[in-house]
Amino acid sequence: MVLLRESSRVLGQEIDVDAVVDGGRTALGGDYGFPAAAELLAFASAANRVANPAMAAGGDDGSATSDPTAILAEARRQLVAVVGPEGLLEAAATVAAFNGLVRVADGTGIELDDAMIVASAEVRADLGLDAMTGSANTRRLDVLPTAGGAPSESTEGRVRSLFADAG
Amino acid sequence: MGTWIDEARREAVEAVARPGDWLTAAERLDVWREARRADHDPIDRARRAAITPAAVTDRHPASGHLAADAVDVVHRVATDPGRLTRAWADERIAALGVETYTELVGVTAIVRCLDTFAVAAGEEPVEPPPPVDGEPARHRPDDVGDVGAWVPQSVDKTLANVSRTLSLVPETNRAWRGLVNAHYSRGDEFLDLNWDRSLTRVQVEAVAARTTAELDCFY
Repeated sequence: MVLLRESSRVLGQEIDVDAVVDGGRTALGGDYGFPAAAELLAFASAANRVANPAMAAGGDDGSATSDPTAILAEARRQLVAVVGPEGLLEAAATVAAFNGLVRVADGTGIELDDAMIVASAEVRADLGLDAMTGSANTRRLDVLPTAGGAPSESTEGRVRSLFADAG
Repeated sequence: MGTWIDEARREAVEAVARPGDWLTAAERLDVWREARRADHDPIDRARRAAITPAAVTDRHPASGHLAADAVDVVHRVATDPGRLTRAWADERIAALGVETYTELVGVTAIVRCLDTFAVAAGEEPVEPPPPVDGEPARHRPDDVGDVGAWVPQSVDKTLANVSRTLSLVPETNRAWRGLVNAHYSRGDEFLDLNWDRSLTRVQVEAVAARTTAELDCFY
């Protein structure tokens, strides 16, 4: 979410981050502030729900009337129509990468980096993220200054400090 | 891009089927099977539905090659990563050893990445290859220590925390980082917020943000 906000600022785009992370707002036609947003987000939600049926079920008995696989197929078709097949692959690769990144981050209990604590203060406050279970791993959330994500350094320096060598 | 992804995915599949850091190839392939089985396991579904994971006390049995505690790690990381706690991890680490615990997390992440890409792109799921004979490397790096995570990690402060999660298990880490590099970061291109890809940086980060939200990830 921090990199979304950073990149949108560099590109001069006003992004509705709240809407981006709200899986309930996947209907096509929404105004998120960037091209093909509704299709990309609908695809991301659909792909995650098919790839993680235990999580998506949230404890239901699996008898939901809508077919997640059919929803994903339609989301894929609509995404290809606006970003092409290469765009679909890029989106699929991103969903896949973060399905792994989430698990190594949560499974090893890493803390937010200091730069991330500062840069994410605004978005964490906006979205109430500090209430999540994983926030307990970062012991200095209330200690470091909250500069609202605008430290005075170059864009590259900021990205490097946030996610240096993310691979 | 497709070729680059295909090559990285092939390398990761081969890496899972080889002896790892502390796990044999058969054990690593069992991680893959268990991660898939977890998706439809009634215990995992019940735990996911519970107000707290601790409310479900049923335990998974051992698998063909993995102890019950190892199976629990794979299932919990696969199906409910956002509600893992340090107390839970400490118990599993005490039972398995911190290196084995870390490798289980890493292999689960790798196979989740592989399987999710197939689902998302509309491809057939990867068929795990047969295990490769041999012994695990059993090498603990010298440059790891307590950097605030549940497991020791590289003390190299030039790396972001998310980049050194698996540094305790270098064989697994190599496979994992190759996969992430191909799927997302792509070397120095990651530093360019205005990169030249089929999706803009904002579009990619939006997909990433929606994914982490769907998976309840704070980080």
